[in-house]
Amino acid sequence: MKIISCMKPVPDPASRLVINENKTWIRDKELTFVASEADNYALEEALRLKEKHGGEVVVLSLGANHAARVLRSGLAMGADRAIHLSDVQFAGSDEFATAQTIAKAVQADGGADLVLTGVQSDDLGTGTTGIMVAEFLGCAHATVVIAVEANPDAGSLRVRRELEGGVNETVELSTPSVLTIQFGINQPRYASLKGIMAAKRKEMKVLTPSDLGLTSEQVGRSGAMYDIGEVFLPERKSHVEMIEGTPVETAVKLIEKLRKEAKAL
Amino acid sequence: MILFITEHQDDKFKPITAELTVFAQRLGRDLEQPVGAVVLGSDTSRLVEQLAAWKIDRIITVEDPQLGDYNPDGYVAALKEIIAKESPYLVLAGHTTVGYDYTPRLAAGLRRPLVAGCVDYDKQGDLLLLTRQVFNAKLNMRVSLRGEPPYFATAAPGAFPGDEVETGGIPSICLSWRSAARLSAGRRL
Repeated sequence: MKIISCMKPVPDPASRLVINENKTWIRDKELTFVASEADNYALEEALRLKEKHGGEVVVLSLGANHAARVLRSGLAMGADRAIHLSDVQFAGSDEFATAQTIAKAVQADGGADLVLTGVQSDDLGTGTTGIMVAEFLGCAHATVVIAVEANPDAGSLRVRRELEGGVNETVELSTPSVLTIQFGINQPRYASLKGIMAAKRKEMKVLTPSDLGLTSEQVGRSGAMYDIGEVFLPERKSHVEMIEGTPVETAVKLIEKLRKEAKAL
Repeated sequence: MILFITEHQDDKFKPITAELTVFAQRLGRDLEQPVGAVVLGSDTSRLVEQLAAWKIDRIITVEDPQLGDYNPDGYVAALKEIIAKESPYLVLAGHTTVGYDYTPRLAAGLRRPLVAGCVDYDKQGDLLLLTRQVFNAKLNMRVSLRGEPPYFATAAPGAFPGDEVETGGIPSICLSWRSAARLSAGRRL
């Protein structure tokens, strides 16, 4: 099986987020970037499928130096080679432009049996890019995947999806497919020292928009479907309210508030 | 039209449906647009009865045995047809395991913007601005949409008060059916 596992560089989750001067994003120049957490689960799943069925795992990322660093970490974990989509024109890409670029890169690499992404990224967190990749590739998809069983000879997959309220569903898909992998599906491995050394010698192919047959209008900010107007701090709505009355009265009021105001029930 | 896609199970609407109704009703009022609801399923009659009590201008249903259980190919095929017929301004769905499963395919397929996980909106003149959370809800981001409608958005669960649905109003109900054969082009096995 050939599996392409996507890795998005995001600011280290421990970073202090400061909004930039134009209020269009955060000040990210000095931040450390790591792979978005769910993408590590996706890569681990890709490596396990390769160990079971043979084949190749390719890691793919879009972005400048941050992406190259994230790809090295993926190679150190055990991926065979990397594709780095790197060009100044890719900057400012939204989910749509990113998905279109990834789909073109998958095709330029000769396609894949499986494309994996994390269920959502730690920055934008929409969980939509992987599904759009499937649409651009014209193949099936499944989201919030918590188990993958592949049958490469039959060209089919059996995957379990996690739905709301503790309910799961099992779906069968034909390959090629795109899966978005849920947090916690496995325990991502740490890169060994041997893996880190080996990663330095593995292939990292750099591709630009023209390598993918994409024009400057189709990528980055120009290829995006929306404009960021403003990034701002959410309004703080927390306040303390004392509920008075008998234990029964306070319990009734509390349940009502948990239902109607907090929407926790 | 502001068109929202209902979610239901066992002939009952899931809580996100009332929240989408409130989101659509408020947008409809502020943008002076009619509100439409879409019900997809194998038998939608009981669901339509429930919706008819709410202030909705139009209810559109597609009944097909293959829509009895959610599947993305069936939903995308049915919704593409509805969107072509109704030309909505904005299509709303829940940011749920159903809603965010098919809306990216639908929006990307039609080459239109999708803003996922909306928690609020603003209107600046004729411009619609949608707000969503980023960085695991540490920050909010307000975005404007490019190009021509239809636009797509999913609403974060709990963002709109489902108990504030406006009732009353007499919806026009448009029933449409698709043949099972036309929906069976899906690639799920």
